[in-house]
Amino acid sequence: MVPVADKAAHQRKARHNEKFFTLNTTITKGVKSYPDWCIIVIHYAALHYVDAKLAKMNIHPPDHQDRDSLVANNLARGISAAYNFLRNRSETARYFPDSENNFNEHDVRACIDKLHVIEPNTALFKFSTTYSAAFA
Amino acid sequence: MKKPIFSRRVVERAVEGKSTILADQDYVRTVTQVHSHRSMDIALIPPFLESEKVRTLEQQLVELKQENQRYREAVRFLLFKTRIALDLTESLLNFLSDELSTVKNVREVFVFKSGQVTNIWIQLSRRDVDSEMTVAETETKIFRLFPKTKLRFLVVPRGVANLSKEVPHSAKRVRLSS
Repeated sequence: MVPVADKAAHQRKARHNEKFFTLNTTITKGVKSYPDWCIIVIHYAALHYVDAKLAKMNIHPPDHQDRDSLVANNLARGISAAYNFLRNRSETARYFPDSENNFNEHDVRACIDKLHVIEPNTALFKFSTTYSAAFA
Repeated sequence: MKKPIFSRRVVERAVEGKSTILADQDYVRTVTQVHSHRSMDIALIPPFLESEKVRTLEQQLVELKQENQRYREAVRFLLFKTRIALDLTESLLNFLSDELSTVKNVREVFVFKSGQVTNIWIQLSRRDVDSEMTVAETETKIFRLFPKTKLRFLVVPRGVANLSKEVPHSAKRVRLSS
């Protein structure tokens, strides 16, 4: 059971996750070193953005499976697909050993693009341009 | 003079077989006999033909019909739920086959149940944004088709894990045409 939070609280958490992402990449050049964790953080930012959108409709998903269905049935098709994409990648990153060796900065960039579909104002979209240039 | 239980018109209709009130065959036969005997007045219908018996039978009939209706509705509902439960996996297999057969890099798809959750595991040949997005869009379609079903997707490239070695024996493999 998850405590019910309002839209603003979810947005705060999403921004917080994004800040962690930028910190991670600044200190460790982590997109290369920890692409798996970058993807996980992006997914959790996305999770709070979709929760914020659902909270606006007074919908509060109790668990992951219910969230997936509620996102698909209450938000735009494009947002739902982008969220599914991030969830799939995040689960691969979390559950499978050595998954970090299967991700690279381009995979992280693709995830930021999907986050941008969910939340056009994401701070990571601007940030990704900087780090993409760094790895070019 | 004793008041007639039924009007002459009602009895005549019963004799003609048009009345729904006189459903008791014995009663109809008796009424027929009475009616055919011109000298007898309708008021002379014996007391055992009183409408109470008919009313009781009709009441029982109504109750039985209502009970029968409730039973039929319950059976229909249970059959419907059972059919959904039985057809869910089959419907998913067909849908996934239709949707994913032509998607590049989709190598194998498995469906199996664990408790209340229906798991859908999709093995990709390799990581590819376009293929993954098509799979993600298919997931949205499935969530919309089965909004009340708990579904869990796992989409993994071959380089990360070989799902065919991980799936339970009960898993059903989706037939991919290509």
